[in-house]
Amino acid sequence: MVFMFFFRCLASLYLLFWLAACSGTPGILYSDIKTAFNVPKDVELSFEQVKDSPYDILYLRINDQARISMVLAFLEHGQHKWVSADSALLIVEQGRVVRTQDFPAELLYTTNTAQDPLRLGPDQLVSAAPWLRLTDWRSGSGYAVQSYFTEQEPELLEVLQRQRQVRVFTEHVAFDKQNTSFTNTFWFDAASGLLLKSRQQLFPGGTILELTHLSPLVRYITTEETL
Amino acid sequence: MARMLTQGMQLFCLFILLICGAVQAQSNSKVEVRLPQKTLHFETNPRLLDVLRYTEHDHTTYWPAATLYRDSSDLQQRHQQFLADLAELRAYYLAREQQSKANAIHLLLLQVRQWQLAERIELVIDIDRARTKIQYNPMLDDGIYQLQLSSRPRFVFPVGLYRETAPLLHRRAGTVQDYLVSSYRLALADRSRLLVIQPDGSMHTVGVAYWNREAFEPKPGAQLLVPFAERALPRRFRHLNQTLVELAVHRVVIE
Repeated sequence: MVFMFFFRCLASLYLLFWLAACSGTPGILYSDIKTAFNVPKDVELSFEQVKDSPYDILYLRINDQARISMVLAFLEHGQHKWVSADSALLIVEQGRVVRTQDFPAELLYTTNTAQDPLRLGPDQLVSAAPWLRLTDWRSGSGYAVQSYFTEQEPELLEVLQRQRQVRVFTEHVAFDKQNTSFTNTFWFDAASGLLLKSRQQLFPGGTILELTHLSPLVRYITTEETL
Repeated sequence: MARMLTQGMQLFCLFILLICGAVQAQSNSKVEVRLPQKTLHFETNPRLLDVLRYTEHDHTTYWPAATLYRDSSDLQQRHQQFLADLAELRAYYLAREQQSKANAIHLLLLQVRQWQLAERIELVIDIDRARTKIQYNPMLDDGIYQLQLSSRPRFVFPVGLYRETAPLLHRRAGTVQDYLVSSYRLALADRSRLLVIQPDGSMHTVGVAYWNREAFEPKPGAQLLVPFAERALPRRFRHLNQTLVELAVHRVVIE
């Protein structure tokens, strides 16, 4: 028993010295330990907080990491430009991520966004013609991507602690150069037609971005309630 | 006497005012930025964003190819010197009846003579980056600038010892190999490597021979430069290879 206690103390001391060896100063050591034990949590905002915010707010989850919030920094030329606390930018057209800055595997450009079926809204998504665009990346340019939509069974989706009936669409995406495919999912509010949430992969095997659009829904519900 | 004194004081004051004005004029900057539709004049050194605000940009603007150039008399002199050296090199080959080499130099001379050159400023130009991060919004030094801003370029540009230098359509996810047709090189050309000058000014040496072939993708608007083969030129002309590359980096590429 005493031996085990002694062994544990030694192991703890070893761990402490090992951590100290990686750190230049005690301050950095402290922040290392703090970071190691501090698992980030999802950002959780209330309906009122979003309503009272002077800026439009978006939830973003990258792969299975903790959810963060972004605010709308600029709205110009039909593009919503969302900025995070660390100044990363997500440029979105009609709910589609068309450009990223300071994200893994930077998307530099998407062509032909004027033909994106997402512009037509949920009623015409399935009947829209397949959409072909080229995507430019930091590592390569002109990757052709083609996609079409199918509709799934309706679901209930919880956004800002409220249950919403949603129409669910799957986007079937084909990457012609690598002959690979994957799917994206878009959730539209059944009552308002607003895009509430999307899960978008930018290239095969790439980062999955999950966007939840909060402010348009809050505005819609607030207007409905005041009528 | 009093009148003369008053006139003297007035002249003195005028003199002081002129000196102050001159100092003021010296402390003011002189930045001029030429855009496709207009020219901007700044009396104080602007930040990049101050310039970009005046540009006609929209969702189709292709920021990865946005480039800022500054007029440079030094570069113009180097351009002229390079042309003179090429003419001398051509005469060297003609004197030795090496016609194919002389022709290659002649074609290169005609090509480089058409180049518009200006100093490429090493800078990431993107209005959104400039807005959100101060390091992407630097202050511009005095000078006369030219800002190239366009939609996504459609072509890549063969330069150097290429037989045909007409722009080539950018291929979807195309590698350098996709732009090489048979016998595309002139005499004296390097047979094993090619330089890709991307629209952001970065340069990459790419192997194109069977033994060093690389799958490198030029971006839309890139220049594909075929340099001289090492040791192909007479010793006193060998510096021309490096000059060719340096001038191509500062070439204003207009689609």
